[in-house]
Amino acid sequence: MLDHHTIERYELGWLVVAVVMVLLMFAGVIASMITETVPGMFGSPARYINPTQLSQTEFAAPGLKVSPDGSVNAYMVARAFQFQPSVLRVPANTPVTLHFIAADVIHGLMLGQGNVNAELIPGHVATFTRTFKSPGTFVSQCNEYCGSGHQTMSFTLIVEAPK
Amino acid sequence: MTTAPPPTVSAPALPTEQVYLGHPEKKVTLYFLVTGLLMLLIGVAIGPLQALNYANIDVYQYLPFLKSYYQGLSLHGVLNALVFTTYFISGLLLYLPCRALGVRPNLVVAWAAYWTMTIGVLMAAWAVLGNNATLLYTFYPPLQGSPLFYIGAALLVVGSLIIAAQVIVIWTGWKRSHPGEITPLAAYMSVATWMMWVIASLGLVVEVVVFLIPWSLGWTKGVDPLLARTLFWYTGHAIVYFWVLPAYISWYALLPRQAGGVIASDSMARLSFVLFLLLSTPVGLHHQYSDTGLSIGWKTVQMLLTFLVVVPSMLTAFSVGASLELAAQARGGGGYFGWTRRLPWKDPVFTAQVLAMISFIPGGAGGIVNASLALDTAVHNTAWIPGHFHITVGTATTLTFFAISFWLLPHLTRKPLASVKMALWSAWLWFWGMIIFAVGMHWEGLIGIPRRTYFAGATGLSEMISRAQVPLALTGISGMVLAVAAVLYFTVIFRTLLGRTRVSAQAEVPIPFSQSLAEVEALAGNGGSPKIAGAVRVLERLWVFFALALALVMVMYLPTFISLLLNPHPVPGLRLW
Ligand code: HEM
Ligand SMILES: [Cu+2]
Ligand SMILES: [Cu+2]
Repeated sequence: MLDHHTIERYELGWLVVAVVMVLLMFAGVIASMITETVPGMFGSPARYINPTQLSQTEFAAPGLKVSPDGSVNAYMVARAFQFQPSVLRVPANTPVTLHFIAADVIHGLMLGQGNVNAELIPGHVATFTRTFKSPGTFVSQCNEYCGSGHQTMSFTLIVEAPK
Repeated sequence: MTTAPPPTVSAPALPTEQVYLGHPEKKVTLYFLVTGLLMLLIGVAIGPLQALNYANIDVYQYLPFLKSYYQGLSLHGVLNALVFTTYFISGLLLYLPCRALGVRPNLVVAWAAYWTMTIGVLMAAWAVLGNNATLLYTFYPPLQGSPLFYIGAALLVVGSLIIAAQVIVIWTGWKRSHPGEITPLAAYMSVATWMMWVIASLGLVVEVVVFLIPWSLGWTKGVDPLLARTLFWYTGHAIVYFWVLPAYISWYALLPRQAGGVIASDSMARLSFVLFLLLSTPVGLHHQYSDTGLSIGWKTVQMLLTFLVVVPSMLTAFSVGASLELAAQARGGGGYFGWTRRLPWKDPVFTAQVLAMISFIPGGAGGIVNASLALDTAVHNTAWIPGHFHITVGTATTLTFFAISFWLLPHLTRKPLASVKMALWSAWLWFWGMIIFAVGMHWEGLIGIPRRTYFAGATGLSEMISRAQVPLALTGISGMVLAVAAVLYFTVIFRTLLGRTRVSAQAEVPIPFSQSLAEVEALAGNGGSPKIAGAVRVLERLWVFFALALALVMVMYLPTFISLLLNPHPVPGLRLW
């Protein structure tokens, strides 16, 4: 049988293994953030809009907007129990900036592609710039409990292939 | 083998007073444990219905007493995760350290804690049962429930803090009257856990007392939902360690003797608890990776600290594994893996705990995924998350508490366990049920199925459901397995508690405080006590680590809280169910 000194030596070795493992994991995540294999970790600006005053903002008429310079923005408002618009068509292979805001309580949304999973806290604008590569229809739904109609809050992203 | 119920029961039934005579704290402990288990019984009864929901079988339309899926889910989450655990832990971590230190707690204080908790739970239950707090167990504002719910939740926490204070005071008193002595391991770990909880519960207390109660009473107009979430998760992550550490105490300090062995390494056990005291709290932001409005810098720093919690967890795995191997060797086992066959698998106390530990291995691995800023996006708010916490708190903790109830209830009441066989079956079925559950739920999560969704009315899931038929069926099946496991478990427990025979004081199941290998070696060598390692002396100063933990959590959280408080964005409450 091993004596306790030997066991403690082994355990110390194990401790070193654990620490090294932790540092490697951390380095891995940081690397994936810096290289943007996970897009948009950096630089999504914090913006707050009073959710009772959306009518004075670009969220007054939600939907896709193409600016004269060609940049594409989409504005979405989540409120119990629907997304406005509930169907969003975006062009494939074009950078699109999505802006989400919740108007009443917390909602949430995960998209079928583009690595988007946002907690929509009333007033806090969630912004993601993504280039959707695969054309298709992606249906998902609100993923933060918001009340009795939560399960009816669906959102459809249609990525359209260029004509 | 200390835990098998004594074979013959000859002594006549003794009156209750005599059972508690030597240790009157047994009674209050029993009340804590049994109340907790009753709450679990109600909470668990709803679980299989939720599992059927995932299998697309809607039973809610036939249930007159539940107004919605979400009301049931609120009861399930609150009763299982918050109420059951708090009662059970308060009872266990009052009794163990007191017995380990040989101190009798002040019973008035202990009962005051029990009744504070119970009044709180009754208030909150009233609100949830009346469908006035269908908020799920996270109760994020601006969804606004009845004030009774928030006041009740606060009283539940206050009750646990009374026990925390009591145990810490008892320990400081013991230290004063035993200068130079080292705290026995079980007491040391209990005190460290309570110190952690004192720091950790602050977030929830502030959220509820300062913000939610006045708001729900109509005294204030709004609450800042982001501030409330941040306070909630400050406690909400650390609370998982409040659930898991008592299981670790059992694995480290009790299980070795139950397996017929000794604690492999006493000083490493203490080190891992100090690390938990330091690292459990300053990491809650990892539940808010998807929240806009919080700095990515602090999220990243807290991610590193979250990963560091891996270190004490790996230490625990090593030490407990080594203890079990030593136990098996003492029973004649050997070889690389052959020794495992020599362990007391017929003993439900042992088996349930080992199964709990096994479930914690995938639980920990999944936790690393959740903790990673990069991977969390793929699983946040999906079925993966309940998949994860049913093999951590729902199995590692709950199954260990089952094991503890198999010896502690007989110890407290002197009534033998009603059926060893049924107890064993309940443990195995719970384990396999939860494993199937976890496979199903993790898999669904990767497909994108959200958690907390009433499937019968869902409009956005049909395409995902068509890709998730197999895992959804697994969730449904696991619910049925777990229902059987729960029936067996509660049958054993209630048959035990309601049993009429009591054994004599000599035949009482002992508390399995284990010896450490170093102690045994010292006894074998020179008959004296072991040399106390310098590290143990350093680790003994828990107040210093408490202060360090407090400082660390301030550094990690104050900047975030200050900026949230300087830019408040209160919004009014809504009742949307
Ligand atoms: C019979 C055993 C059990 C079954 C079949 C079961 C089933 C489930 C299911 C299917 C969900 C997901 C519901 C959803 O997100 O829509 C869930 C949620 C949950 N369960 Fe369990 N469960 C069981 C036992 C437990 C235990 C023992 C605990 C804790 C000690 C627990 C704690 C929770 C919590 C905290 C939630 C989340 C509630 C929420 O989202 O607000 N469950 N359970
Ligand atoms: Cu929702
Ligand atoms: Cu956490």
